Amino acid sequence: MSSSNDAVFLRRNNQIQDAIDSHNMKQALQLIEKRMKKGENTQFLKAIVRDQLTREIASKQAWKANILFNHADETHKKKGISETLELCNADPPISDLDSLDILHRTLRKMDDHTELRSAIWERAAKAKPQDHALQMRWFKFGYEAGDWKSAQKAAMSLQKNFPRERKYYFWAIFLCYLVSDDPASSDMDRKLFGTLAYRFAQKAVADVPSNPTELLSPPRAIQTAEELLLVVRVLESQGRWTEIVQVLDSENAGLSSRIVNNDRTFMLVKVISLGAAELWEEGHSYVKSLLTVSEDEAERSTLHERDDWKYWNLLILAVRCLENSPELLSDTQQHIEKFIEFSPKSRNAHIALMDIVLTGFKRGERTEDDLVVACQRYFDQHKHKLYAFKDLRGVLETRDDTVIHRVAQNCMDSVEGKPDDAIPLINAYKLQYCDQISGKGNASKSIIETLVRNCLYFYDAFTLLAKTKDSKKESQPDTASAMESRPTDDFCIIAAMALLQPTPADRSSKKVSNTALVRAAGILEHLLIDSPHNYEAILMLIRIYLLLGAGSIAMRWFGKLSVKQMQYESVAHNLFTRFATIHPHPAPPIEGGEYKDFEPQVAFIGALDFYRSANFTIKNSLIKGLDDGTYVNLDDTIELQKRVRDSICRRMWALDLRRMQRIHKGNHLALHEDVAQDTSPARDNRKYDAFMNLERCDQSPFEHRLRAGPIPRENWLASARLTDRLFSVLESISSQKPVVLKLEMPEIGKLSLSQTDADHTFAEIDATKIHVELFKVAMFMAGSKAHTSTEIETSLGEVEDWLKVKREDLALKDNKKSCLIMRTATEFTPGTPGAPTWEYFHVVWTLVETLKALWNIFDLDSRKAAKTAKLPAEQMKRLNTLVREVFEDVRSNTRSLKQSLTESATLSTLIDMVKRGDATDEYEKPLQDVLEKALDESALELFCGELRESWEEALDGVLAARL
Amino acid sequence: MQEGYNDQQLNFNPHRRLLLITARQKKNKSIKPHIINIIILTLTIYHIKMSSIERMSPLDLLDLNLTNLDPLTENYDLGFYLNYLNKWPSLFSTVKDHEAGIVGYIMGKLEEQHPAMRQSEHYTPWHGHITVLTVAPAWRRLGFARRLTEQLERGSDSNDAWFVDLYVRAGNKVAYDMYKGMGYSVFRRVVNYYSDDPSGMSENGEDAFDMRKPCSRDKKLEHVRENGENFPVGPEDVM
Repeated sequence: MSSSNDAVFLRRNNQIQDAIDSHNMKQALQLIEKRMKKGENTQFLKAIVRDQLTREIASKQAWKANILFNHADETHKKKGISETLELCNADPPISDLDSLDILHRTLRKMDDHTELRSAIWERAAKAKPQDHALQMRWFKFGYEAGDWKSAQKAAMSLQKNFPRERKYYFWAIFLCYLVSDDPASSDMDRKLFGTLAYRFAQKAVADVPSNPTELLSPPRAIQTAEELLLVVRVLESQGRWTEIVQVLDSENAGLSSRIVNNDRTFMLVKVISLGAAELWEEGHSYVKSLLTVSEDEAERSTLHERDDWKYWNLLILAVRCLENSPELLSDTQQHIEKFIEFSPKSRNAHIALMDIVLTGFKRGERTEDDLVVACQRYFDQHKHKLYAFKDLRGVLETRDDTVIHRVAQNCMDSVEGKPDDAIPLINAYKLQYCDQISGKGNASKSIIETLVRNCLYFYDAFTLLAKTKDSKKESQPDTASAMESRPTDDFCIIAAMALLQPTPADRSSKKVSNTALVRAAGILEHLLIDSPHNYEAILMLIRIYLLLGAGSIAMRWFGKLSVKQMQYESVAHNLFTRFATIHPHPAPPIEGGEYKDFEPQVAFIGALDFYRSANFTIKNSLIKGLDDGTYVNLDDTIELQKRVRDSICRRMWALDLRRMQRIHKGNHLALHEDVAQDTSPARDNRKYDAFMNLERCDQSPFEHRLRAGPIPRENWLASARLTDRLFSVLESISSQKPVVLKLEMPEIGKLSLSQTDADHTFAEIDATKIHVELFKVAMFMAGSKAHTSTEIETSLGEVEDWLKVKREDLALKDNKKSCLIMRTATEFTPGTPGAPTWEYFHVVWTLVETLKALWNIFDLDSRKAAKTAKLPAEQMKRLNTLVREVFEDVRSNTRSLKQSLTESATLSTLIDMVKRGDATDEYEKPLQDVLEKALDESALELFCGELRESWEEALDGVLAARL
Repeated sequence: MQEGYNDQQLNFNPHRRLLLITARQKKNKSIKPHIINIIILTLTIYHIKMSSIERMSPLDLLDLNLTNLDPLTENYDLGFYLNYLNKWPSLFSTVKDHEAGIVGYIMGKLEEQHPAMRQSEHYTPWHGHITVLTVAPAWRRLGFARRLTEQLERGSDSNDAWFVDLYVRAGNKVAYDMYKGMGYSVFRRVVNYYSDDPSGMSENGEDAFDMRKPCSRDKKLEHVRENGENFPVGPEDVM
């Protein structure tokens, strides 16, 4: 054939190819047919026609099956399933991407064909082993969906068909590991894929050449630290600790190999593995060698890099476990002493020394005096560091009172009379708190007040000193230091914490008196004037304002933390927990503030937006990370994905956002329903670590006593879901949408509200019991036959009784106070409630929500045209009256409380409360003097004024509520 | 340490902790075995109070309260952290303290300016860059920043970088002095690099110092200069 003919054919073929590329199949077929009609019948045309026709047909068939499957009626759906299954088993298998995509999409919706989902790709890959795009698509579908088994098969196919790409081998190891490590995998799969991962990992290590100059290593050999870490992760997951040690001791992949190059990460891996393998002698000798002070100067200079607690811990742990070597303890102590001699400031070495003495003390080889001396030595060396308190508390963790007292007293003695440095004093006062107040139900008022007084005195003195120094400085203080919190801030925090002790009457419930809360808030506000960014103080203050029922101020302080991104998971719960039933309405706008700082719904929406975008971000990262080959981080990212996706906070925020919408408008929006109604096990990532804690190790952390009710957990979610569902059913009836009638009832049975470790407040338990009854009523109205009309009458009877009890609780007595007010309000003078607390608002808003549900039921029942099952008219009439009365009682209680606030919570009363506390007490006077001196009068007035305004605003919020 | 455990209950026998955890592991398959193993190690050593420099894990992102509640530390988008964890895992390290958790971290990357800039006098060759270095307020002045930086410098060195650099506000004397003490010097002043000026001294923003410390590759010290404070460049020159 001539070259001109070639060019013509090429041009014509390109026209067809272009049409195919632009998915214009009709045009492609027309062009082919035109040429064939002209008598041209080349192999190319035949092949392309066959291929295109097959593709077209397959694609159309797959599409048709998908449409049929998605059809609402059962006949079409069944036809769709059978056609899809037929296509999946077609011979030759379907192998074009578009058809496979459609089939995959259809199969994804068919729950009982998960195996087939992978099988269609597997058959296609076998038919076209060199189709890289097809196998990659298969891999990504499996990987993105968390179908590790399917992705593992795809990875195996890729590494078999494209052996030059070495990464596919490591993808296969990684996916084998993921299948073996997945709780959802069957026991057989876990075992099988675990063995596979292990064999592949072994091969990857064995193939690494021993000679580091050998540049060409087999493709399956480990070449990077990340690949070696993957092998370590595989071995770790199977508890093969000794093998990890062997690998890290090996010539080719060990610590001194070209791959590791003495990277500290792997040294730590070896230390951990030695401990986990219980190779105590080997471990002791290894870390001892690392922590030996060498004669060589160069070696000495790198010693501080190895001064890492993991090394020291293995050293101590090995001594503890090798009890049969009597000299080991003394030898190790000498070794530590030598290190301290070389590096006297080493915190780790000093703690190791205390630990070794403690070990000797426990074995009877060292005395109590030895332990106290070791602690004193530690304190003398490290008293200028804020960590000293926590280190000492750790060592004294389970010692008896005498030892703790001796150490605390020694520390105090060594700093008293030398008030030139704040940090030693702070450490000594923290130890004093731990010794004299923490866990002591009988800590006297005098002890507490002396500590508060001293701390406030020193705070004032050091602040004045710092201000004097600053004023002498000629240059401007730089921005960073102005934004830093100062160590002396801790004095104020200790003082506030000392005040916040459980009241003697409430020791078991750890409830702190409202007077103490107001006083502590006053002290912390004072601190934050000088140190506005101290987050420990801000967090404590947020909780205090929440407990006081001053939601608007709590929100304002929360705004100052600028919480965003992952902090919606780790920090936001400090404000958001139960906020929907404490302050569900917007607070007055703050000048310069964002909406989220005063409008709770906006704040919650911001949090939920984070979770939604985090899901996409993590998905993308998982795909990108594979090409970077950071397998261990990817494994942890998969765990992070689960924790964020199934976060208990996410569900709580979704449920409470919808609750706030209901409280405002009587029903919630459709948004976030999937999250709110998710019944899979939730993951709890809440952290409380940013709170200062001075309690003894055997006591509950301090933060526990600043919680507004018990921490919500799975039980709370279940009852909140039930309430949410109740409103959704009522909304569906109202808008005449179909209601799923069978799903909800078993969930009610799961609610075990009598558990002792309950995560509900009393008000929540109370409301949930009634919501269970209302839910039965709502389902009955929607047409459910689960309950008879007699049962529904009983349910309504229970609701009626419950409303009567509520009326009694809210009934105003002669003194214009109800049982609820007496039980929940703050007293400014004994026996006279003056201001609301979080408990008042929580009870009231929880009640309002239930009343709204009832109101919705009345509304639906009264609609003449509605097709809902009718409820007993007389009973409904009585209930209607009761609901109106209870709602009016809520309003009259709130009005009464507002009146009391105006009368009794005058500015001067509140100021006196901060300064004098319980004025009848004989010990108060010296503390009063310090407070009078320390607290700025105008700032105190401002604080008390704002507190009053916040209470008023919160009460107005209740008064603005409508049924 | 897990709540509810103390050495008295366990009769000073760390092995009992292992048994307890293993039993829990058997009961609860949802806890990942390697995480259990790490817990085992943490619990067996029942008096862990010291600090350790470790690689950052994506799971640590849930544990940054002590550092990221500080107003001087930025909370980036999740994707930003994950990108660094994927691309430069060895340059992302944390300081972990037993009781407090993560009390500091450093986040860095390896990069060079686009080849199109090679002819420019401001061309920045292959180097390590400190993107974030933060230590929680109560844990400052204990040498953690230095140790974290050294870790990143070692990582950059083993990746054949010429130097490690960072940007610091010209007015942030605390940070400037700290880096100077660690061997960094100003290479150039990037005029109005920051759009804001917290000190309120300027309406055009604030200058940044591009500070550098040479790696072992830069034997002739070609990528550092004296008196870099007086060598102004524009923000466009360093992009």
